[in-house]
Amino acid sequence: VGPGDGACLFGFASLRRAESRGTLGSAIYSEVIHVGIEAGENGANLATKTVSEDMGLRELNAEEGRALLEEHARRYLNLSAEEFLRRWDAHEFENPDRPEVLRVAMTIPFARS
Amino acid sequence: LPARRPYAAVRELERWLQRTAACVTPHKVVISRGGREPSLSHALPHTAKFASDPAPLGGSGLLLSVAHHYRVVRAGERGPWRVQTAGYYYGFDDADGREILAYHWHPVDVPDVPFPHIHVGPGVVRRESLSLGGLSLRHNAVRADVGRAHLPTRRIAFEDVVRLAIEQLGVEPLHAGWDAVLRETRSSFSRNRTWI
Repeated sequence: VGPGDGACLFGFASLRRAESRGTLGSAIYSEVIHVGIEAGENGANLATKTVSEDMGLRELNAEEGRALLEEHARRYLNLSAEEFLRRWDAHEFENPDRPEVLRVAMTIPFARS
Repeated sequence: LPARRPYAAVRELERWLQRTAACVTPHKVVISRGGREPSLSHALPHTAKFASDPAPLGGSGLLLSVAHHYRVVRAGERGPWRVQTAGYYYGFDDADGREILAYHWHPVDVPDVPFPHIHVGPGVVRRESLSLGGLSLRHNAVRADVGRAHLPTRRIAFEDVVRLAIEQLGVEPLHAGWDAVLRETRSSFSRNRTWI
């Protein structure tokens, strides 16, 4: 990105998007944000910071999803995923809205979808 | 945003989540299995969250935890596909892993509390204060009633949380265009929301 790239002046962001299609028909985005954060006279001191964003989110498979739930259940409640699911399904958590319980509960779809 | 195909509707969600998150963290968001497929009526919602959660935020010692539940639904038999938010969890932890505050909306997971709310966590008390009182980091020094309370809020957009982090909690944005990104994505949220 150089001084001639008129959009990249202080206060402006130029968004460029390149789209390609991967296998299975899912779209994979690659978007680069070029942001001018400092511009001197004639743009000679133009400084830019580039942030790359991979717009296609990775979909966890069944094994990875179960591992994620297991990790959360162990970390926040010191339970196995299996024990957490049993207690959750049986409504055994006294306050299921406690943050440590809910953090684990919000990952259930990763293991059961 | 409405789309002709389910995966295209989810693509918009993906762009929104990753662009918003990328203002404060390089951590990637992942989605649950089948997360680009239409939602079945009685099935669990799809979920998006950081692959490594919580994500550390620069300049502040804070960590951000995100879980976003959504459904891929169609308006009528031949209408456009869109993604509906089915719940969320946006929380800040301190460097010791103590939750400071968390925005919740989980009408399905905990139907007894159907409204959006915020929790005040033990992390609002500085660790130095605990040390002075001879208390361990595991001690919750928040008033018990406040600590248990579900303080009602309006529906909170993820952009609101990221903006809060940058503007009020001292988190360093990862690029100078963060304000424009949050304004753009927040505007889209306001146009397409279906409630509150």
